[in-house]
Amino acid sequence: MKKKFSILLLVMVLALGSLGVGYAAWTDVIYIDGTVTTGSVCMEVSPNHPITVTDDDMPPEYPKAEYPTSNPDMNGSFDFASWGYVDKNVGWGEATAVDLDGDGINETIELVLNNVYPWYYNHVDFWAHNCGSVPVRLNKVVITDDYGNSTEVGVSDITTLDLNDNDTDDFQILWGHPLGTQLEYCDSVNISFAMLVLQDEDPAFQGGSFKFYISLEWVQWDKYPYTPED
Amino acid sequence: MKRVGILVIVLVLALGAIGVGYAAWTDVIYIDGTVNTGNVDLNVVNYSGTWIYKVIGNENYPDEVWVYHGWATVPFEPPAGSVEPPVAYAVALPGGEDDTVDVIFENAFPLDELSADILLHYEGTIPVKVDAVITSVTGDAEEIALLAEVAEFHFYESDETGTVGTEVTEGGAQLHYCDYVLCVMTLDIPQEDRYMNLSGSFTAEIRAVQWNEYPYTWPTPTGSPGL
Repeated sequence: MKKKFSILLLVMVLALGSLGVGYAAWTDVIYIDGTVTTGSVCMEVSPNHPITVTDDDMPPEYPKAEYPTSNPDMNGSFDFASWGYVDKNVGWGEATAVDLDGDGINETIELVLNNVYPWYYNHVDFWAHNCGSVPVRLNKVVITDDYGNSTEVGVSDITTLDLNDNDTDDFQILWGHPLGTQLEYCDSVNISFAMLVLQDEDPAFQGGSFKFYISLEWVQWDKYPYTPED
Repeated sequence: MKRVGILVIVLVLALGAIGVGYAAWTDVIYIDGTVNTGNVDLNVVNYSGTWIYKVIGNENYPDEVWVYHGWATVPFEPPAGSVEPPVAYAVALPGGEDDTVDVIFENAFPLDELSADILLHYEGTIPVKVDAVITSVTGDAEEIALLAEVAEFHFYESDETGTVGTEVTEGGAQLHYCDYVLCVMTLDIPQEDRYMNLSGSFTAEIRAVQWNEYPYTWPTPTGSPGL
């Protein structure tokens, strides 16, 4: 009797014990409703400052040069060793900020040099504006020709291009702004560069239209200098 | 508890590894540049010459000479009594190829008016300076040397009618788009017997160079001894 009762008790304890493992424990919960907003890296051609092209004077009777003139062209020498005014108004430049990707900010400057000739010199300066909420630094400047040849440049670097791909260098760009410039939210910075047409005696270089491209890459300030991982 | 601690460390390492692979936020400003070049383009638009006739029995010409200077492409009628062929003439004519001119001086003698001209029209957008140079000569060396002494090129401001305007005397005739200039070739033969019975041939170039490169060192033409 005693033995059967003990076994029964043991079975009950074991059964109750196994039942206890399946019961939910007493619980309570604290809820967290979280909101996360991310900042943005956004750079634009400043809408609050002009783009200045040093020689932007079209000869009033183009294609006839203006002479005498109060708006003379500038000419330079190879590698920008020197530059100065000449006696005629022959060529000129124009620049416009545009929004090519349709996102509502002007990220591109369309620059056109007109009726230019060997040793013609011009200079452009514009303002870059931080339209984002994250500080940025100027990470990289790349100059590319129309044939996919690219060069990374720093301040005072001179890039020589062959605009018509005829193995004769015919254009130079002197970059005027250092890398690493930092902009806080809504800051702007003035950036400039100079251009010089070289002597290319190829008849096909006359009366033609040629392209070059400059890209200014800005990176979140804490990642400068930045090189993407492969 | 120990297993929880190991789990936490594994999670931290995994998240850290993911963090190294993240790209940074970037944005780009672009400059699209277009370079439109001008051009240099000098063209001959007319040719003229001088013809000298002996005129006999025409009371309008008591000196018995008629000198006519006019466009080579426009026929003309010598006055009554004129003896053919002309005593002498100088003429510029279109050459066999674009931008070439044939020039003939026939039986030249001392005469101020004997000249062959070409009217140049500048159709390029970049101003130029223009001058002329004899690039080669063929013939007897002594005769050529004498002829070279008296051969001259003169440039005069002009218009579409070939008006002889102000002579350009300093460093190249300057041309802007649509300007005209008259290039006059003469033989200023003195009254000296040693200039008689000379013959020779020459090539010359009227050279236009962008004005900001003037004076320009032209390459020596291949095969030409030059002067």
